Amino acid sequence: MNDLANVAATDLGRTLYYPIPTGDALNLQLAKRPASIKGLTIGFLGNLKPNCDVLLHTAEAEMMKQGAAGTLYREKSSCSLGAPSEIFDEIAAKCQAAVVALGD
Amino acid sequence: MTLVATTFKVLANYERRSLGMPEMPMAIVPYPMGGVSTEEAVQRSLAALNEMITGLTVQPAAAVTAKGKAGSGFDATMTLDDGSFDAVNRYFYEKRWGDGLPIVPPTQDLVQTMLRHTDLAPNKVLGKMGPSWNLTTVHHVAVNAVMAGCRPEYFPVVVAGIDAVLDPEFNIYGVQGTTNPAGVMLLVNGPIARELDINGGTNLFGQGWYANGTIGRAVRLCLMNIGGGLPGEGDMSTLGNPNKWGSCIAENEAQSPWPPFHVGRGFDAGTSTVTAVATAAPQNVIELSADPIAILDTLARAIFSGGSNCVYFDHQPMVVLSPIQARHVANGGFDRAAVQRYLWEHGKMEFKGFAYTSDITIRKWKAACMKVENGKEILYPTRTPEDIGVVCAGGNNGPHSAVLATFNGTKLITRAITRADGTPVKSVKELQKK
Repeated sequence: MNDLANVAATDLGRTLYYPIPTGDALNLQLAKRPASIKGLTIGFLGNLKPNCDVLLHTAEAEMMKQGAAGTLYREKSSCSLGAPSEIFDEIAAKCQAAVVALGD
Repeated sequence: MTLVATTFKVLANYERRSLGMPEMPMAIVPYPMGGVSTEEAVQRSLAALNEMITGLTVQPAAAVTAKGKAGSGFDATMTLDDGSFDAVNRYFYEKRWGDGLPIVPPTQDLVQTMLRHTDLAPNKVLGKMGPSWNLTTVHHVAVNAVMAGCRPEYFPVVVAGIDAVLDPEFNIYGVQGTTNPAGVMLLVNGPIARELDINGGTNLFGQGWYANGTIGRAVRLCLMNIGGGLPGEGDMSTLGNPNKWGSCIAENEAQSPWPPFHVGRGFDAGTSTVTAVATAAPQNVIELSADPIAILDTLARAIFSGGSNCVYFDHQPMVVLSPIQARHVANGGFDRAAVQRYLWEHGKMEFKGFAYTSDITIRKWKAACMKVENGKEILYPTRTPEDIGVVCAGGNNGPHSAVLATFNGTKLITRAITRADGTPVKSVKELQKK
């Protein structure tokens, strides 16, 4: 081996710290699903990406045709920011199920 | 349930795992959704409708996941069969615990030495870093600072930088996951910048200074290893940019005609600060004239150059004037506030001529920067003049300045380098334990 290879092969210490946190940060629980959307108010959270409003408004209209009692449509204030807690609280208070748009 | 386009399925997968709900249903529509007709978007929604309704009404089987990873406790260790530089680097690379460059193995000795350069407890939680939403402890920041090659005395700067990055108004979750090339740059002001020889002069965005290189790299490793900004998973950047390897600069306070940047933000000149900037690569701006108006007009036009983040985003960009250009401008009677005001007023443009998708999108994304004046729609670079950060930095040797076009929804976040009780320190030596 040349000098560089010798250096690279030198044992520097075998016990190392993990560079990543070793526990799960969050462990949220999935909500219990209703049997159908009939009679429910469905929440829709748009993310301001192009055509997201079209996707969600179309789904809103179709779900109403299929028996949903109502819908609640909200948009984030910026496509790049998480939704404020007020929006989540409102959807949680008024809706029994919700569709959230993510990404482009 | 989540509605997502095909390309972003990987990010959605990453996020639902991070939230502890890997079984959360997804409905998928084809990517891209931008640029397609309204009729096509309607058809895509109809095609995904059953998947959406199923996601809302069918309880998915609980995913079998191993909660927690190997090791236990915030300062868990691993023991490898081979502790050589080569073997450790191969192992870390396979685990994706790095940025693609060789890392310094985070041995217990090296990490403990790093931790002796702060008075914060190793288990102190600085915040949760998206998109993994992992707890960011001082210990893990130290591990990644070792891996980056930081000298221990740099550690207070890294900690203050990560603290700034974790401010909700910095929006690190958005910065990490976006398709935009934005990375994180730190700007250091005050006596500690000089003490640590953080370059604020010639070639400051480039190579050649140990502190600039390793402090910036430490932040990047934290973003990847703690925050989950792994390319193609938690980091969806289409192109990336070279500053995503790590970026740290100082202001050239000695040659600036203005008070230091952090003084303009309410800090004492003797306090050292770190400002986090979520920026794309610096856009160099040449102006050969010494006329202050010519320099400012050229910068104002550069802010709104075609396709710039500044055109689309509601944000706080930064303008870096080289010392020569800053002095020309200052000699024309412009202090920092006057520069901000001039760039804001002369950087505006009539909002017209954009293609349909960009037109309707900018109206939503940058609505807070739009005004109607004399019957015309006018787009301003930012909400207020004060939203444009103005810094003097670089070598005293050329007609160059730069625009740092930051990401959407981000603010410039400044943190003082302090003791654990919040008292600013004049030297990093004040934080060193025997």
